[in-house]
Amino acid sequence: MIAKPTSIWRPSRRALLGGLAVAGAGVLLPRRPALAQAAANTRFIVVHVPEGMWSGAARPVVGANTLGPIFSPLDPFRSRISVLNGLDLRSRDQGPGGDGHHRGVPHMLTCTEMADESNAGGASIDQKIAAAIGADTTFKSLQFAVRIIYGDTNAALIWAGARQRLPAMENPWEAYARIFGASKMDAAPPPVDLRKSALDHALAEITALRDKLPTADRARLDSYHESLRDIERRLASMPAPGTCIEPVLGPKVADARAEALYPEIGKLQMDLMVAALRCGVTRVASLQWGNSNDQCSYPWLGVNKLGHDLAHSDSSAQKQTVFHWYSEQFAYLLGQLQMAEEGAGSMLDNTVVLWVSEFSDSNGHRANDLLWLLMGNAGGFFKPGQVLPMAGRSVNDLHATIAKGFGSADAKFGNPAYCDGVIPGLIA
Amino acid sequence: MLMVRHGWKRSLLRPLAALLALGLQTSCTGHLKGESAAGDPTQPPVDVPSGATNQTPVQATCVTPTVGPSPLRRLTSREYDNAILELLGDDTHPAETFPADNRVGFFDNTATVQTVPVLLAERYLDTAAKLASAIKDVRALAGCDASGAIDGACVAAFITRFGRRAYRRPLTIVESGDLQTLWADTTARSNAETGVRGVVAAFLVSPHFLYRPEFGAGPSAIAGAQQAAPFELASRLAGLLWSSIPDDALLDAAASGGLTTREQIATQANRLLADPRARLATGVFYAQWLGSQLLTTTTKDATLYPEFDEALRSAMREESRRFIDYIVWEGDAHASTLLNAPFSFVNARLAKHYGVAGPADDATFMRVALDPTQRAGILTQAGYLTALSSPTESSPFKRGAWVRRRLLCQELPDPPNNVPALPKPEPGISLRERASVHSSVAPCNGCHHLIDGLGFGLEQYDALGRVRTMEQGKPVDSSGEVTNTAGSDGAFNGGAELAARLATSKEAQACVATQWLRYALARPETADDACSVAALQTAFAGSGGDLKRILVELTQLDTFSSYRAPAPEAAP
Repeated sequence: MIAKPTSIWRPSRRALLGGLAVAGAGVLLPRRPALAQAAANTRFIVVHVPEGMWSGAARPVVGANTLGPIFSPLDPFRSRISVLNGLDLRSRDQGPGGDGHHRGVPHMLTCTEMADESNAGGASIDQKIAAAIGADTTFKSLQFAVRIIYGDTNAALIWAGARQRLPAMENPWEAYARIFGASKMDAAPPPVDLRKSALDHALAEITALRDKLPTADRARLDSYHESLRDIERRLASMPAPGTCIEPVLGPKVADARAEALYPEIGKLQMDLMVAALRCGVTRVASLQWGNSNDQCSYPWLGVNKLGHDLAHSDSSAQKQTVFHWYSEQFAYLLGQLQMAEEGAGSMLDNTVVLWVSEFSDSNGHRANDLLWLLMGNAGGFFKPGQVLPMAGRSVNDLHATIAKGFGSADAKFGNPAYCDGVIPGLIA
Repeated sequence: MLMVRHGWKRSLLRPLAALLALGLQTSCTGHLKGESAAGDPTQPPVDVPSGATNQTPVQATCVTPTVGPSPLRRLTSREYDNAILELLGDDTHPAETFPADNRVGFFDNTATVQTVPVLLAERYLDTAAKLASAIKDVRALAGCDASGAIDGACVAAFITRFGRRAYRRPLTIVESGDLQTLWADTTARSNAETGVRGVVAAFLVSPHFLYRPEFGAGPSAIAGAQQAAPFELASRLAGLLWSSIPDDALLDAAASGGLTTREQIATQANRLLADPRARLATGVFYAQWLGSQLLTTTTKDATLYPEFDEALRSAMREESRRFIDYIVWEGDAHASTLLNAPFSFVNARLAKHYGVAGPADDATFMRVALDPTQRAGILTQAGYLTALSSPTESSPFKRGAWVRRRLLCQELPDPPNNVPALPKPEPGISLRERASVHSSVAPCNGCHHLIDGLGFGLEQYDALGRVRTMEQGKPVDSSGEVTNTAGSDGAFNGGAELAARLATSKEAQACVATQWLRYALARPETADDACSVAALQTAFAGSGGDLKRILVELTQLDTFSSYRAPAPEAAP
């Protein structure tokens, strides 16, 4: 068991004084100066919750003083959130692919036909943003997950491009080592960094090999080449140690995938994500709780039914219990961002967080009439605090709008056939 | 109209999740998914009228010999670990920290999704540096004189020798020269020993080590294909039979014309199969085909099944592993025995679970006879039955779909997007009765006749695979029916009778061959593979379903000894 899952932070003065600390969680005090240009440091986070178990509960309504029965844990952040009510994932049932689970996840953030049954057909919105704002950070983006049971497309959310799936880090201790230990090898450092010469050698070999291969095989080798280039850039520009206070994790657990640890692992991953953003090692991150066709049975909520089976049952109350719990987790993430001091405010002021789920009605695998949330204003670009009837606007339109908020000049996103352009109501 | 796509036809297996999704649904009236996927669109799916029996072909027919494509393959995590053990003697399984290999269908080795995302590239690089740094005796590894210097001559010899293992072929002069330069450069910055470590690290991140590039070598009688080169054959043999890289003997055979004829290939295959590495490697196939990972992740309601703990889960897993390993390598190696053996392997905990006498402790597994009216082969093992249940009750749907898809190689379409919920449990109403209500109405009835007849026949086992006679206060009805097969149709009662029916089923036997071919090719079969599928199914049937001989038969196929460049991918 994890002794103190939320204790990775050294409690900060602000957290303690501010009274915002959640169960021992606090925030880092930055050693480097607070970021002066907040708008220039906007971050992007996407959070995926499986199964979309909205189950007919009352949706947030315009003018109400609560976000309703499922999203009520987010009421403290209501003024910062735009409720996107009624989005359509128009591409979902077009092109190759399996059932709603296997299409929904790779489609949600790419919004175009899949290249084949196993691969998305384009880059996901977070990767488009990472390409724009991630060039000068150690990691262009970081992918976190809590418990992915199947390795197939029902967990394939993030794509660097067509057929370029990006796996997520599922183990917080390995994620920690990667993010905060990347500049120091576990083993005793050799006299020279063996990685550099090996990397150079591999790049040269890939270049020589690539053109000899059939074109159909080249994309996979190209993916290796691109990944090595990214690492090469990182090795050359690794931030000097001491620019950032690293979080402290509790003792490593034997099985981070144990179902009983799901809430704790989820918190650790959120803590690591916030720490990575706070330390400036990345500006783009994602968190996937589980795969669609959810294999978690939520025993700590008294559900004891696999999320997927629950989604196909008529147990509305239990579905709402699960979704309400995910709202609490989302509120925790926003709370952590709020506790991170930045400029005159907090990191929450400089972050855009998109909450997504692949279904509106999980039993029917429906990908129309989706209810998603967008938190943050991206330096004043968005106009949050609204409940927005999307009236059939497409997810393509939403992503086009978000991309614009991050400086994109593109009028459309994904397959343009499903995109009518930006959504004016979202923009300030 | 119901369409059932059979294994020999081109087919992308639906991911396992869809199987589980079948717990609740669906319509078999539409097209099967995958119509737009890679394959030959001129091959129509087999059209079987709903409720039809004995009309489905078991074997593929071969008209003109063709072979499917040979896509570039990357080492899976498992293959990487085995290769590291071969090269460096390191058995720490460093690839366990790699991101999981993507799964397509049942298998995790599908070539076309084997990219190297940055997370994996980092692991490759860090692992290579770590392994190279951890070499205890560089001088011994490099084969340099114990008293002399680590000089250019001995390093050049090392690069030639180590490189042939790592790249599974002799290095070119340019490749050797580049690595000697890398050694000299690193040595200049530090010392000669570190230079060797640098060379090792470079080998371990080379695309020639991590991938398995193939180009073919010379004309073939098969249109559009070439003969696979001897060193490519060596890699294929070691990959298939050891999940690893070739040993020196295999590379020597490739170098000396010893992998030219089918007989020579068979000789080497038999040599590899006599090695313990083959037992471990082939066990992975069975685990993936039968979905052993389902047991690893299954959960049970702690109130209803307090006895389901990690000790029981691991005992179930070990039972199936030992059983399969025994049948293939110590028993008669017959597929029918795998499906119908009246014995299994238990420790103390599992003996209690089955209600038989067993060993005194959990560390010891022993072979025990089980009641042949209740237990027969893998189908009735507690592990599979547990994995194919929900947290609260057995699942005839999951079980039936598992038999249909994994043991009969038939596809079931994905569930539709309008699945009615299963009625809630109620005392006095059996699960079978609840499920029957669900399955009898449209659209569910379209497919459930393919699932329920199999799954209902396993209702005598509860969610932990224990035999039960009552459920919800009523006597269990375990009558079932096999339908839509080519010669195994008929009524049965209970798991043992179903197992007996499957054990003599030509379709189930052919399915074993099909699954092996998918695993061996690292891709789903295409229409161009029909001859190889037919040849393997025929050879397997001819051997009486011999699970050892099929491994040699795989190496005798046209597709194994041919190279065909994959066609360009359609633009997404």
